[in-house]
Amino acid sequence: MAHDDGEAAATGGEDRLSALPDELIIKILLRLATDTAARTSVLSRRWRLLWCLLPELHFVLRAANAYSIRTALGAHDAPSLRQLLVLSTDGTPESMPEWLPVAARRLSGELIYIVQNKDDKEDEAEEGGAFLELPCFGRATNLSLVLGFNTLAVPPSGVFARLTELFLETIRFHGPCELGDAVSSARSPSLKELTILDSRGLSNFTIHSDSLVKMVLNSLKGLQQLNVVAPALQVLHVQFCFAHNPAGAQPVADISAPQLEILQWNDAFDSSSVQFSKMANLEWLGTYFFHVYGHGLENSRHNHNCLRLLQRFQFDAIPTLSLSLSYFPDINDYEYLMEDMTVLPDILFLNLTVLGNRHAIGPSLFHILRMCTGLRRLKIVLIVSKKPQRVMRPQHFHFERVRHQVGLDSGRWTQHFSRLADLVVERPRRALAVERPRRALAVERPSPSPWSALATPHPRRAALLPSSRPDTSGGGCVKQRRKARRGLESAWLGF
Amino acid sequence: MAAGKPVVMVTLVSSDGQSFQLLEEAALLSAMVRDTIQIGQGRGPAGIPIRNITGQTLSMVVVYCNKHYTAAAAADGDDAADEEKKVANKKQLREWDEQFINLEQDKLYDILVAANNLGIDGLVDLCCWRFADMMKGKSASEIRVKLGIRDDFTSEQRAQIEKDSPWVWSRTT
Repeated sequence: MAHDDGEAAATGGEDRLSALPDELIIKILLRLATDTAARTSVLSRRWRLLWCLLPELHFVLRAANAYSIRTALGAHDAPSLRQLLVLSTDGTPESMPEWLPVAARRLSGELIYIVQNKDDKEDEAEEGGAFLELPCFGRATNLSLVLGFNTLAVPPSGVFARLTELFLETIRFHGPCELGDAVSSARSPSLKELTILDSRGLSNFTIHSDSLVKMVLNSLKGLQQLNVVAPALQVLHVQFCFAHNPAGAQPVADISAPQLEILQWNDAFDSSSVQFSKMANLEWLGTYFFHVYGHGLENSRHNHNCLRLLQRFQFDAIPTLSLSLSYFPDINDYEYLMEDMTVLPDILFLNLTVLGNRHAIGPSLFHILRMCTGLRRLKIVLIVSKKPQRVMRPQHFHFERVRHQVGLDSGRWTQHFSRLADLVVERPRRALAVERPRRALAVERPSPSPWSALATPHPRRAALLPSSRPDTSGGGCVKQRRKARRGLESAWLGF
Repeated sequence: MAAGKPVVMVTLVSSDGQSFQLLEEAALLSAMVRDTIQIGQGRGPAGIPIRNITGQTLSMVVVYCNKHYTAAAAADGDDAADEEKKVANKKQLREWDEQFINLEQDKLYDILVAANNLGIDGLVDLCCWRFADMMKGKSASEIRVKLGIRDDFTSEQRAQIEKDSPWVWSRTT
């Protein structure tokens, strides 16, 4: 590096940058990587110690400079360190941080520590060997650890006095795991949000927390038992935790959360082994996804998780129900399973997420709608899978690929069923017109005769029509319902 | 944007006596204007005197406020469900920002100091982003040249600093 031109550089004009107040220069330095910012210490005397006042430090680590954070933290002098972000691209336990204890003493805000593993070592990296010992962060408010399946030992003692948010992802917990103890009120008295994603080694998780408001547990492979006592808990998501267990293993859970408002249980469910306390304020119930067509025991066993949960809440009035329907790409010779769904809670709003895989979804939709006599609003989210040929497994069933959202809002449409058809036809037309104008034609001009849209479908579409159709006739307004069905199906046929 | 709302204008007067009229809601992006109006001043015909900021700089600040107020108002009026449009609008505004702030350094300093005095956080951030952008990927000497910083270290002192914090220099610049 050449410094020899320093004197010559700024002879003309005044140095307006250096004349700025500290706070503004720090705002500029905050927008640089921390090591770049620290290099400004050599610019001039004015800049010598400015970087040490940075309230946020961001590091990208490689093996070669793994020691750097510790020295940097040693030199750093800000009265409060409100954020420390460390991205490590070398995820071996050997380079595990000796800086963590220093950080634990200094940090008064947020720690984000991400270890990137080059290869996915999820299954080979076994328990034993080096592991990361988490120190107790007495002053930090947020901790986010993404460890690339490295092993983490939770401290057996110490109080996380100010911790409000804990986020853990791709962690292999060092057993016997103390996590439940560490996040319970006695040691984390301020914890409001706990998220644990895609982690291993947590077979028994028990949390007693008076402060916890939101908890998300997703893909905790090997979870056998979950006990939650959280009087202030409002949101609980449990997703693909028990579902990973071998077939026949029952999910065991005891959830005491009397203030719960949102329960998303995308997981195995059995009312004999999963207990919920009374939840008088429940506003949202979300279930595991449901295979509309299935083949053999496995699919129907899978569906029972959703059905049992619906049964558990069938006598409750819950404003919003979130259901997910899934179609296998190939449903030849598959059985129509929708008839198994016979009860729903008493709901006002239905959030329906459909992975249609190019099948007509009208029949299953109407099967559900027939059960919701008090429905006031319907929202349909259509998922378009990028790889429709791939067999869906739970971990692939993420909902990010939303292509169309259809919102319906009508106070009295159960009495005016035909209006629903109008609405449904109308909204996808717009959505479709934007994205796939050619296909939208079928929707834009609904054929005059009620069934002509179905009678002369496109040959390829005809093959996709379900073989068995639930009978929607019966009751007093057959004609209206048929009209509605025609409208809906002509809309969906456009996909 | 409620239709029934009366249109209220405020006048900002620069240090060299130039007046700028803009919608009060746009001017409220400035914490300083907000405070002035809150204590019941500044709505009169005399306007709000802005000390230490020349007309040339203030005119740029007013352009920024108008643009950001209009964008925010349009976003409020939009269908809340239309995420794609929101993202597109945000991106558009960001592009406008980058174009707007692509200025020579002298003006950039003036605007940064003005935005800081007026308490317009978005504009302060934008200027800081621009300065940081000028420093990115440059060696110390290049930064000195680019930003006109006078080096008052002796070469021994410089060497000592580098020796004290080797981690900073472990990556090539």
